[in-house]
Order: sequence, then structure tokens, then C-alpha cells
Amino acid sequence: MPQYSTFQPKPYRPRMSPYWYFERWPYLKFMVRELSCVFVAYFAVVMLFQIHAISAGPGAYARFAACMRCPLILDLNAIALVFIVFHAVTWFALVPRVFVRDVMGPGIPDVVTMLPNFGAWLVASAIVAAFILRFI
Amino acid sequence: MAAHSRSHRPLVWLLFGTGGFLVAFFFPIHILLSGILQPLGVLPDPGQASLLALLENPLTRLYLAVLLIFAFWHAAYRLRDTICDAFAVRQIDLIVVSLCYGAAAVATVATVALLICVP
Repeated sequence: MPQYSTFQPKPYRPRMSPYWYFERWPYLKFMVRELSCVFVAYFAVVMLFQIHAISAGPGAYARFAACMRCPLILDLNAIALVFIVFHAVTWFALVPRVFVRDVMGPGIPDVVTMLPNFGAWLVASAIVAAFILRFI
Repeated sequence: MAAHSRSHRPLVWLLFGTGGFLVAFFFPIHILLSGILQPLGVLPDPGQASLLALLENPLTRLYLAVLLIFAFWHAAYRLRDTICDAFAVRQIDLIVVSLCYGAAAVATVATVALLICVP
């Protein structure tokens, strides 16, 4: 085997800007959805604090409730809600693309296949709300 | 990495996918009520005693355990990729993955411990 050294090919590695997701709207949308995970983790931790406060007694629960009324926490929760609803809507919108079309074939509009998902979301939310508000 | 080595991705994707599904269905209502409307006083807070009675039901604790544990693993899986992609630091993936999945493991233990300790 001859050994070439003058024109050794080098692998092509495109350099990606660390801010690539600002270049196009779909990239930014992708990154916004990815960022929702930070708020999922945040609110899951809040729920752990809530469980702890409920178990620890009326005093601890009053402190937890006072903390939740703090404007900073309320703002954070509102931002978290926006991000997580964005995750939810895009997650439900995916189903017709990856599942229903495989099973039932093309030709069914996305809206029709998405509707059961949104219906189930509404029912699930109503049931959870009934428990949180102690109607049940 | 050897060509034949198996990726752990399918296993953690299963946790991620299930978590994404549960988070999409159940998190918005929890945040809307416990995080916004009840603290604002728009809807009444049933109080600690009433919520403790709800929490004493094993089914409630099972629901919370499943929801929260999958949510933590869902967040860890996504956070790992977000950190690597957003800051273009895939070369330190091993450190990122250890931190993210380590945190998810700690959160899992904390969730189980808290729910077992409910009086």
C-alpha cells in the first residue's frame, strides 16, 4: 500500500454556532419545547414540597401556601404553564403523524385525529381538578 | 465507542416517552390550580386536612408516584439533550448525562420516600 502524505483527506466537520436555534423559527420552536423540561422538573419539585407540607401538618401547609402566593413564584408558575401547555399541544399534535397515519393510512386530516387527544386531555384535567378541589 | 456496543437510548426513551405523555395530560391542570388559581384565591383551597385525607388513599399516592417519577426522568432525558444542543457541548455528554440522570435518580428516591412517609 503506498503511503500518501501530501493530500491526506481530512474529515469535514461543519462548525455549528452555539446559537444555531436562533437562525430559523422551527429550530427556535424545537428549543422552546426542549426548554419545557426545566419547568417540568421545577413543578415536579414544587409538588414534592406540597406533598411534604400536606404530610407535615397545618403549619407547614400554611407556610407552603404563603410561599405559593409570592408574586415571583406566581410568575414562575405562569411561565411554566405556558411552556408545559406548549409541550402538551405539540405532543398531542404528534400522535396523528406517527401513529394514526400508520394504522389508518393517509388522508385523514390532522385535526380529526388530534381531536380525541384534546378531548381526553379535557376529561383527564376535569377529573384531576375535581380531586384537587375536593369535589370528589 | 465500539461499533457493536448497544445504546441505552431505547430504555431511557421509554421513560421519556411515557413521562412526556403523562406530563402533557396531567401537569397543566396541576399548575393551573395549585400553582396559579388557588394561590390567587380565584378557586378555594380545600385545606391541609382535606388534602391529607386524599393523600392517605393509596391510589392517590400511586398516581403521584407514577406521575412524578416519570416526569423527573422525562425532564432529565430532555435536559441532557438541551444542554448538549443549546450550548454545543456534546463532547462532555458523559458529565451531563451523569448529572441529569443522577438528579432524576435522587428525585425518584425522594418521591418514593415522601409518599411512603405520609402519615
